[in-house]
Amino acid sequence: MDTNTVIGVFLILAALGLLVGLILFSRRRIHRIDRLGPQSARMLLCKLSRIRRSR
Amino acid sequence: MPEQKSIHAELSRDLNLFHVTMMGLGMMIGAGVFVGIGLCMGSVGPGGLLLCFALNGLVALFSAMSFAELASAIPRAGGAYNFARIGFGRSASFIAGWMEWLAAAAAGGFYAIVLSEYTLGFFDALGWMNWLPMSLDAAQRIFGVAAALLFLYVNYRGSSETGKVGALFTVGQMLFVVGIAVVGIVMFFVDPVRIQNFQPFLGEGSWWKLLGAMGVIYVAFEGFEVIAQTGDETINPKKTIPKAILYSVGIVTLTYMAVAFATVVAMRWDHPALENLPVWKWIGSRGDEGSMGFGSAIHHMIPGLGGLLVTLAVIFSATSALNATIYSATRTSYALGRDRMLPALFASISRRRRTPYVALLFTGVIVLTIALTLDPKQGAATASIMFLMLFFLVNLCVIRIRRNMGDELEYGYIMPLFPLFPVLAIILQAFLAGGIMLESFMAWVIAGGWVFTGVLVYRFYSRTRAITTADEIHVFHEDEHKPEGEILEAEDYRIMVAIANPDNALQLVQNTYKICQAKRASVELIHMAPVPSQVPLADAEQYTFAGKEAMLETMLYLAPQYPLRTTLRYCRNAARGIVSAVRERRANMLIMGWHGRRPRSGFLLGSTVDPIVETAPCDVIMLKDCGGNQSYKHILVPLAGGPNGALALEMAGILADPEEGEITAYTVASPRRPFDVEAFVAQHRQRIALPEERIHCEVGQGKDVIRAILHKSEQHDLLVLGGTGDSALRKMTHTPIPETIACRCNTPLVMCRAATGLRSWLKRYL
Repeated sequence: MDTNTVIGVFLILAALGLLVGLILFSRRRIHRIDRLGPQSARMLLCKLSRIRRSR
Repeated sequence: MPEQKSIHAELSRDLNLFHVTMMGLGMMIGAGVFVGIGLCMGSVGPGGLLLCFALNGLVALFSAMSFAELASAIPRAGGAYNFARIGFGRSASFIAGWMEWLAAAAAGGFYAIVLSEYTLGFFDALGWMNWLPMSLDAAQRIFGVAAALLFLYVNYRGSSETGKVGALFTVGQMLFVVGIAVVGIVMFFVDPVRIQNFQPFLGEGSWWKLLGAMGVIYVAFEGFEVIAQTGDETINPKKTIPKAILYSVGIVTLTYMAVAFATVVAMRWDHPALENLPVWKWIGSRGDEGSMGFGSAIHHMIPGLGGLLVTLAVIFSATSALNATIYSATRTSYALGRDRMLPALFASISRRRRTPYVALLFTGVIVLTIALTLDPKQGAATASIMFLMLFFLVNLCVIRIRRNMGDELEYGYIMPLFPLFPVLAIILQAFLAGGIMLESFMAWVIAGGWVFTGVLVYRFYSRTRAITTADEIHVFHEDEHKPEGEILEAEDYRIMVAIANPDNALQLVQNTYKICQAKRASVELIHMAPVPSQVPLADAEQYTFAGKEAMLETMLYLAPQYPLRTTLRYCRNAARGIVSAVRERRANMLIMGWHGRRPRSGFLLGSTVDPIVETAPCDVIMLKDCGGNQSYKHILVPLAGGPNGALALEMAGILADPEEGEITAYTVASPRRPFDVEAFVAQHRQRIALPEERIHCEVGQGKDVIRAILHKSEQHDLLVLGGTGDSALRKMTHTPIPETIACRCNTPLVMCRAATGLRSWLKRYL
């Protein structure tokens, strides 16, 4: 296989993986916000990102 | 007696996740993919084609996440136009609306070109176009303009397909596209050496050229943004809309890749039709720069049928997308006129058709100009570039709105790693827009000129004239019209009365009153105000006058006597709106009037009544010419068994004069279907609220059942009929007896259909 093919196949797989991953992750988020209520979910998400940043 | 409520208006929500996802898919799977495959393959080769779809899917997903987040926080009709208004104010919202107008109209023009190219190309291949006194190209232009004119007229008539019907249409399209993908993949497994068709990966193109190809084919991913406009009509929009947007982008990307794969492996490299060209090059050279490449490859993949199937698929998908884009463009320019950003003329509604005809006329001019002057590649590139600019703006909006107002909004979906994805989308879309310049400079000239004109229009016209709209003042919370006071859920039996116009509302309610008394039921009056699909439901106030008048008429009569609740709903389709209201309120019975005129062919009782009778999950009673407070002394109930007959007997008992009313249970003797009317009446005796001596059973004679019943009905004050119990299939081939009698009889009529409880999913869906 030539270099273009290797890069191309890698890019296709990466793009597809990211696409499917983001959709599934987003789906979980919608459910989580739905369960917690938007305000509390947002507060928790903000807290979580702050904790992660502080680490 | 509980206090009476005033009339309140609310929106009819009857679209679920499936419907809105299909709506997005229907807009996306237009002709873009069919034409784009050939165009791209010619410039970036077979592997580059697959990569184009994968990367475009990802870029589209980044923008889709922004749309999903904004639509979940502001689930109101308007989409990008509304988001820009909240994020950046009027000037940005004008430019968003202005760009969306051209984007949708250009896509419409592009679909018209593709439709004509594929249809006439197919006829030409069959040798049917030899008689033409002009070149094929000229004929294609004329055909494209004719198709665009036809759909402009369809939009003027206001019969644009939406919601559930559109969803079914899209399922059909999807089945075809997936079918091609499956055939291609099976072929590959049967003959794996076809993988060699993917060499060289980028054809004769380069990585830079890939950007241009991605830009041109981006039009195939445009369409998910219409989902953001359905906020007013979707059930649980905060959760449903973001899901539908993300799912539709995911599904469409995987489908496109599978179809592209199938196209590449459709032919072996040694196929005689290739004339020693590599497969990708041959596909990329069919039609105008490869625009017919997909069709040609599938024609050879499925010999005999392929060409026809592809042409049919393109016709179906391009017509549906052409219709949808004209509708979308009209709706946008109407909104600009409504908010006085364009002259008020744009918001004029046709008195006869109730559609925004001036907005449609101007949209038509743009669609026709594009169909007449541009080739498919330029058309696709123009639409793509406008959508890229629009998405660019929405990605900026999502950042600004989250930063400035995030705490005030109630999000149903919050994108991860904010603001990474909107920023990535902005950068990647800028690259794609730049790439389009390599493929079609003309598209950039048109898009640039359009935006520049828009800026001038805003600067010298709209800025001083734009009015403050409800959206500017009231953007954060959707109106919830919950009834105050009495809650009907506590009652045992709920009757819903669908009122259509002020003329017969009172008669309807006077009869309903007797049924309500007998059933000890609570009553809800409902009026459905159908709003043409080009007008957002939020602007539907003007369509509610007749409904309000009808409600007031009935309330004047009923209010002193009886507790009732009134609801006025806007809807796209009265039948669907009524059925969804019945379901929502869990009504036990639906009562409605029927004009009694013979329906158009294809319907039993009428285009609105038939779907309600078929799908409402409760008893349905229809009244025709029943007058007001009339007392019925002689009631005829023709019977042939079944639950509908039993309900008819019960209704006859309720409507009969309590002092002197008599019921005649009647059947016509038939050797094929023997029926014991006396046994049937005895079996349901406890449901009839009349003494034994006032119920008579009679068996008539005669070959013609319909004529015998009609003749008998002339001697009675009222005819109470049970609806047919025939299957849907049988109803398509034979007009059932009760419905035929209903159409022909001159006696006042009550028609009953009992809820059967078990209904198939398909029946309920349809």
